[in-house]
Parts: sequence; structure tokens; C-alpha cells
Amino acid sequence: MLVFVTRRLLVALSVALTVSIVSFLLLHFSGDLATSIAGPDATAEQVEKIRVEFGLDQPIVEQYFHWLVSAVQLNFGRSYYFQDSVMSLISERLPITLTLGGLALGLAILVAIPLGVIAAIKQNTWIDRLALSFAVVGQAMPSFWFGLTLIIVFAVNLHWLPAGGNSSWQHFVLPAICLGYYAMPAMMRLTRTGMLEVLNSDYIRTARSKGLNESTVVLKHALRNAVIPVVALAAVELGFMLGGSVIVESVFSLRGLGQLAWDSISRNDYPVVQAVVLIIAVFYIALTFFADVLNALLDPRLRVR
Amino acid sequence: MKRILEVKNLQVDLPTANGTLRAVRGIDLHVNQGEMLCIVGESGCGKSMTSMALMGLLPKRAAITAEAMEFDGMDLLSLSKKERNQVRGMRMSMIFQEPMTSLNPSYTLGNQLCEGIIKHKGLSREKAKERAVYLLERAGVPYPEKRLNQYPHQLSGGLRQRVMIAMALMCEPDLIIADEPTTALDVTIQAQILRLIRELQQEFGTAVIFITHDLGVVARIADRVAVMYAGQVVETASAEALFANPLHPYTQGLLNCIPIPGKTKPGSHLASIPGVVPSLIGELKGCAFENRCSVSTSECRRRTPNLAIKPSSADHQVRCPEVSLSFQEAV
Repeated sequence: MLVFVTRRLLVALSVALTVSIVSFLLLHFSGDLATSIAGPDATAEQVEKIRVEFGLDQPIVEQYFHWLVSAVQLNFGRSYYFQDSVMSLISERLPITLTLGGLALGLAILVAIPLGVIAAIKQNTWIDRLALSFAVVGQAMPSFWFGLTLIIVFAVNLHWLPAGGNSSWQHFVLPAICLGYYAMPAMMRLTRTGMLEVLNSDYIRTARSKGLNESTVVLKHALRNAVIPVVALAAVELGFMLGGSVIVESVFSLRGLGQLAWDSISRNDYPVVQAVVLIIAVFYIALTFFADVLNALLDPRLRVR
Repeated sequence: MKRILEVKNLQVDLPTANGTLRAVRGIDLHVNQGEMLCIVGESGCGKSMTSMALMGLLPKRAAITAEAMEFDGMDLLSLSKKERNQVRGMRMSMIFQEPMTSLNPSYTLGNQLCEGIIKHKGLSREKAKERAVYLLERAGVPYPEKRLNQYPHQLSGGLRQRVMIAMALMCEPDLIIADEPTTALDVTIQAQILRLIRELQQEFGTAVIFITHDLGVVARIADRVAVMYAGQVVETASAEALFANPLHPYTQGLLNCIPIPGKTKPGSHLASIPGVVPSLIGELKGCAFENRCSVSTSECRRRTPNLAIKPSSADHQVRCPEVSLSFQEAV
């Protein structure tokens, strides 16, 4: 197990390093940064001054290592747009996105797994069909529309919850439902398919032949094996929600990381874009790593590899 | 001798897209305490279906009916789900054909060996583990203590089947159903496992229903034999009587198919039974074996034969009108 974790950790680190190089290079080759920072009206001297000031005159390898060393120390430089450090912008936005993503994922898992299990046990009954329809609606409905519907019903008409902002936990309820419903169907379907397959397996028959209770058979023997692919999917979904929840964030006026990245791209605020890309990538890598470890804990056969 | 299991006119119907598959068509069986009954027949003759019906492991869509299905005086068909779970696992257990897939890959062998006895007999984990180690050792698994913490994928197929055998014995059952437990194993391992099952069965006095398609296996271990064909028992007798004096044309055909070292000439054609098994969907008219039989008459096509008892030995029964005719002549 220790060998497994170490190996996975090394893989994760090398992926992180690759991502940092790619994101650095992409930005570097997207145009002359000094010119775009200085603006269209700047004179040649002004551009040159900015180039020296931001270290853009150094060789590219040196620029990369300089950037990497500071990035490891969580120093991503200053934003071109806000006269503020990138780190303080991110540390303001990241908790919002993490809270939203975490709540949405938690909600999705809490609904998807029990629903998937029940649908599999009651395969081809009306319960199964209802669960599948619930999933199809979630998959098909655009999240901006669902978000607006939630606001109209629960904020505007019923006054139960606030429509937007992020000052209290109540503000996160509707966005978490909106984002969670979007993430739930895939997990639910995967749980259902996995359960159907596992319930037909020989070792479930063995468990039944031992006279175990149906709940032990389903929850102990079947679910643990069926849920393994769902863990990997959940990790990917959370990673996606960290970077891609821009729509939900803007519908509910949550000033999260997604919105910051979106705005910074349109403002050519490169240090911020670079930092956000790197942070989301690192989260992705960390999540994949945790999913791998969790899977290995669930399935002993994975530990040998 | 006390009968531990008594089955009368067991029928199993499975709905399929092409009509009802009548997999088991009225089987009569009994198993005495501590004896080894071999059920033998080719693929699709309903022998596995019978064992699954006895264990209550058939899918819900399967319709099971019987005049009697009694285990130690209890009617298995009328038991509640809870009572059924009590009997299953504690007093009846099963060994399956596929040792590679019959153990849960995610749990240790110790966990899977012990969970049944902890549930049924309320044993502590330590006591259960002690018994598991004892039985693993009896089942010929080397380093039994170490195995408790191992996972199925760390063991070979033969070892896994030994673990399954130990698992079946955990609660000291009165009856073990072994459904082709050696079919998926290497020939050398097969012989070891057969010997092991026979030894343990005699040592613990457990009754065993041993399901196989291999008459060679039957000859080595059976006390009594039931030969199945197309969902019915066509002949049943003590192993001795069956091999010495097979009565049903199907049994005779099966025995003829086995090449005998020294007797069957090298390069000579091996005997086989002509024709194929009839489809089990829908009703069968007359004798199911009629189209492949060497002694069939027009009468065989019209009348469905019943099991007839051989006059000289009540234990020897056969489902063939031609043979029962010869019984009458003998009397």
C-alpha cells in the first residue's frame, strides 16, 4: 500500500509539473505580454520599461523557473488589472468555490448512490423508471435555467432563501442544489449499472447461500464493489465544478474562482489566469490521487499495481 | 436411516422470450443423513436448477412448485424469508462451480469465512476465526492463520475452492450442495478436491448432494446416484447397483461413452449417444429420451413414463416403459 501511494504521488507530481510548463508556455506564446499590458497607446520606451519591470526580458527558461519558485511559495505576482497580489484575489475566491463544489458534490453523492442502489434492486419497476427520469431531467436541463427557476420559486416567491451573494450558509443552498443536480445523474446511472452487474455476480450468490440478510448482501457485498467507478467519477466531477461552475456562480452572483478566471481572461490579466489554471490543475491532480487511494482501499486488487 | 431431504414432484418454470422454459419437470429425490447423493446429467438437464431451487437461490421470476420440499421435517417452500435465511447457510450450505468468481474480491477470506457463523450462531469474532483456521487446515489450505487476512486474488483456483469448502462447513450444516465443484479445476487438483470432499463428508457426517456431469466422478465418491435427463430423474439407484446393472437406455448410453483404458482400442471410434437433447420450452409428449433411444417403440412417443421400482431392489428406480415391462415379466 505504501509503495502504491508513493508511486501515485510521484505520478501526480510529474503531472503537476507538466501542467505548469504547459500553462506557462501557452500564455507566453499567446502574444507579446509587455505590449498588451502597456496598452495600445504606449510608446516603445513605456513597453520596454514594462518588459523590464515584469521580467519579460529574461530568457524563457529563467522566467519559468522564477515563476515556478514563487508559485510553489504561493506567490503568483500581482494582478495587472487589480493593483493587488494574485494570491489575495484567489484566497478571497477559492473558499467560495470550494464550499459550493463540496456542498454540490456531497448533495449529488447523497442522492445518487442511494437512488442508484434502489433503482438497481427494483430494476424495471416504476421506481427504477422514476429514478431514471429524474436523472434524464437533470442531465438535459441547462443549469442557468434551473438556477433561475430555483431563484424564482424559493427566493422570489417563497422568500425561503436568498437569491444571490455569499454572506451566509443560506446563500449556498440554492447554488449547491443547482450544481449538485447537474452532477448527480451520471453518478446515479453509474451506481445503478454497477449494482446490476455486481448483483448478478457469483460472489453475491455465495453471500446469499450463506443465509445473510438481504441488507448485508446489498450494502456489504454488492455496494462496495459497485461504487468503485463512482469514486473516480466523483473526483472528476468535483474538479470540473471547481473550474467550470462559472454559469452557476454568475446566476447566483457568487464571486468564485470560475468567475474570476472568466473575467481575467477578458481583461488579459495573465498572472491571474495562470494562477487559476495552475490551482485548478493541482486540485484535479490531488482529487485523482485521492480517488486512486480510495479505490485501492475499496478494492484490494488495485493495491498491487 | 433418517431422511434429511425429501423432494416430491419438484418443478421449476422460467419465463423466456420464446415461452416457458420448463427446466425441472417433476423431480423426486431424497437424501439420507450423512450420505453422498450424486446427481448426474448433461448440460441443461436441470441439475443446477434443482440445486438452486433447494437453496432458494433462483431469481424471483422462476416459478417453483412441489408436492413436497422438506428439509428435516420443515417445508422449505412455506418458510418465511427470515426462517429460510436461518436454514440456508446454517443447516444447508453450498459449494459452487466457479472458485475464481465465487468469493468477494473486496473482503478478506477471514471476513467471508466468519460472517455466516457470527450471524447464525452469534459467535465472537475470535471464536469464529478459530473455527475458520481449524477448517482451513482440515481443507488442506497451508498457513491457515495467514489466509484469514488475505484476499481471494492472492490464492489459486484450487486453494479458493478449498476455502469455499471450509466456508460451507463453518456452521456444521446437515446438508451441503456441491454444484460441479471440480469442473473448473485442473485434473490433478480435481482428484484432490474430490478426495477432500469425500473425506470431510465422512468425517463430519454431512449429507452431500454432489452435482456433476462426469460419471467417473460419480463412480469414485457416490453412495447413491440420480441420473437426470431433460428435467427429470430417469434412473436412481445405489452407486453399486447403477454401475453394475444400469437399466435406463440413457444411463447405458452414458456408460458406453466412457473409454476404458486397455479395453477401448487406440484409434477406434468413441461411442456417443446420437441426436440432441429436446428443447425444454413447453410440454414434452411421451418419453423425453425417445428420439435418441435405441429401444424406443411407438408407445414411447405417446405415453409419458413414470418411475418404476425394480422388484428385486426398492432403491433402484427407472423411468422407461420398456424396462418396467421387463420387471412385470420377471414377476
